[in-house]
Amino acid sequence: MALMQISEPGMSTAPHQHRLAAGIDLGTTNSLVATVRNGLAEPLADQTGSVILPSVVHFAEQDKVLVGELAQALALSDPLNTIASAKRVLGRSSEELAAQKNYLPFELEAGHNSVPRIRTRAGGKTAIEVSAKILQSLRQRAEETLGGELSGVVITVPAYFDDSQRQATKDAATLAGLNVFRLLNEPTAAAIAYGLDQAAEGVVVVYDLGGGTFDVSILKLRRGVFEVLATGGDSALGGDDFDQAIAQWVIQELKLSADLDPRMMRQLMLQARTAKECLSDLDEVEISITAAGDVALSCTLTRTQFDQLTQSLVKKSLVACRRALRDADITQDDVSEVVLVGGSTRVLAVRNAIEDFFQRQAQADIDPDQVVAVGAAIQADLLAGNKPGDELLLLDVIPLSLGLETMGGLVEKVVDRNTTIPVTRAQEFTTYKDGQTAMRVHVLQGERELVSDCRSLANFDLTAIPPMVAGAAKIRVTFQIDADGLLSVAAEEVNSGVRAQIEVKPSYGLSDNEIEKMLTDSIEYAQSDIKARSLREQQVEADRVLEALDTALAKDGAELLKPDEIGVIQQYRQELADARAQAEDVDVIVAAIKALESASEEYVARRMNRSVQSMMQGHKIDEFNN
Amino acid sequence: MPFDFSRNYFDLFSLAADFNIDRSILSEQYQILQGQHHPDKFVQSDDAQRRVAVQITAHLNQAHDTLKDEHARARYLLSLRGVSFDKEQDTTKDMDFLMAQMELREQIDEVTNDDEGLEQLDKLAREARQQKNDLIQRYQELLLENQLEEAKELVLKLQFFGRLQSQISTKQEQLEDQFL
Repeated sequence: MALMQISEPGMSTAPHQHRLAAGIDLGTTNSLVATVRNGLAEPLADQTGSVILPSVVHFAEQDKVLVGELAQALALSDPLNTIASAKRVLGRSSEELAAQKNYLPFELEAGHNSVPRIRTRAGGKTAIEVSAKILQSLRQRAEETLGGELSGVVITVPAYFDDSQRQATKDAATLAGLNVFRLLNEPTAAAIAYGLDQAAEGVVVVYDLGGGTFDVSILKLRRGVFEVLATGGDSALGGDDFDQAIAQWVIQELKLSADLDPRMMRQLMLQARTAKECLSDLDEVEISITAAGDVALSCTLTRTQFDQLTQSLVKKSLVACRRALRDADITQDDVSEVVLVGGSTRVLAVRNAIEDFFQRQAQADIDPDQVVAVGAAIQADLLAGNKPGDELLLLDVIPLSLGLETMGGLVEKVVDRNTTIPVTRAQEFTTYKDGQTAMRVHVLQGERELVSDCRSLANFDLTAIPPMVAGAAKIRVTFQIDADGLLSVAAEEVNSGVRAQIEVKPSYGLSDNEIEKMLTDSIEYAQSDIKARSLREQQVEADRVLEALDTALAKDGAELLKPDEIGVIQQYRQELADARAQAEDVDVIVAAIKALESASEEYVARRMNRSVQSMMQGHKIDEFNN
Repeated sequence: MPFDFSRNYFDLFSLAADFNIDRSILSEQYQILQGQHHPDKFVQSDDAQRRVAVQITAHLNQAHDTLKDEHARARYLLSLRGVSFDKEQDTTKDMDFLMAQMELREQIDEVTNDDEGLEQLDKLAREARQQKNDLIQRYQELLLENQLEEAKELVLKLQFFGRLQSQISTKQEQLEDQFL
């Protein structure tokens, strides 16, 4: 690219290429994408100017898929094909969801081993696929706004997400064609947004109550080092539960039958959410719904009633706060700041309870809905290498203990919760029978003692163990948790050096084959996007070329070029400007760029000569010889 | 320069191999090394380099965790002097000590479900802390006299206090949850 080389004397001839990077907050209710532009981290808006993308996907006829507001608008008319809150299902098993008995705004298909599929007219969709659609939409928004392909993204996850939920998030990103620099814990992202903004020092508590998840993290901030001391929470507690509590109350109050049809239920949940939001400003709110036969029903909910309904939810979150303080080995007095994250912290009862508990005013200077995406964008920009020399060190932890099943259905902990990651731990096992050549290792995550109370992450079969007398074989199993909080396992028989073959059977999540199949499917879908994207890319390239030329001409055009030479260049410049403005054909823009470049070749050469001369002025030839 | 995984943990953090360490140096050196090797610095590098970064920082975390914790540090110091520990078989044979531990545990289990129970737990925690400190004091003396087998016996006893402390915490959490 010739015009790229029009650089000023003394400037680096190979300027650092700015890599496009973005931070993505993939939320239960809403999702956002943010990026750092001109040193400022900000969320990116869609064409209508809205930065928030409702995490809703609608599967329409003929394989058409709608995401965001457009999908949301169909929630009532086509509730069963409009998928919201898919994050609640992400990385979870059918059995687990059945046990939770929480209202889910969609139907799950039976079967499919343990990965639940959401029933839609386009077939059974996993939460991974639904999340991938949301990520794809955000990716498109970012690439259109920034005019180029993203080199990578940072995606935030609840700190309390376990291994399978994290893996599922990463799978969704792969499916959406994104390169994931890092999975970042949501509260840590918020701390980055606050910490870098205000150069904070000390102990910061981040209380993050989102649509479907609750996290609390305690961080120590010191000179650009963000050290997570402890994290805790509940990956199934969020604003949705507040809506749920209101909905249940309405059902009782209006004596509705408990099993409402999906449309009524969806309507009720939407009304409940609106009521919740109103009660942050008003003392009471009227809830009205249209029942079967167009019968209008209504009731009034006061804030006091609402506070009572949700009291146990708020308490649940405070128990987690207390535990996190204990794990961090500090008390409320050591805390220098409390930061609120997530839309649900707008609920007054929540805010009051936090301020009571920590005995200080909580901060919400940065929009609680945007702060996570903003922090992720800052991290993404750093990881992309756009700020060399900027020191930021994140030391995060594993949220839940990792253990192995031992005799009698008990769990032996291998890595304790709140251990700084990355972490590697080796554990030795032995055979209990003569000639035993195989054994099963069951990896679990959780704090409880019984296998049945923890989450099963994976079963490994160690085979090809050399036959020996009982107790003679020493099998060392090594667990590694990387910076994303993801687990990998290796095993080896120590005496013989035989690396036992491991067959990993993820207890939840999809196999690589399934992911691959989905990828092939999505590539076909993506073909249609490519044209639109490359047009946008060339427009941006045209803008850049035009700007570089104008700057150069203004600087030394009159000195280095004769008037007729300037005229020729200006003519080609106009042609490119026209092609760019019409924005119809990629090829026309590309051709116009090429034409302008060859027309200004001589000019570029003269500029280069001049900058070399001015660089050498005042220097001896010798200096350039070594 | 390739990272040397065989260096002893004290050396790694520029500390003398002694039970008493300057925690501020430990934390400072840890952060400097993390800053150099953290996987976040290698996001743009190839797979092999990224894997190495994970291995190095996992090693740094292991070293840091070992030196931060008194029991782990005491044990590590002995292993540097050639004392080996066998996880399955090694345990203290001091019956009086074991009986005293059993008693402490029973007391934790029998704590009543009320405010008084919380106070009792606090008291038990202080008692355990005192006993642990006494052991550590004695351990340091033995280390100076190079009485390694005797020192090992104390390390084996020390590990009981970690479990005791977590049992007390669990009980505290149970009680507090009820009050909420």
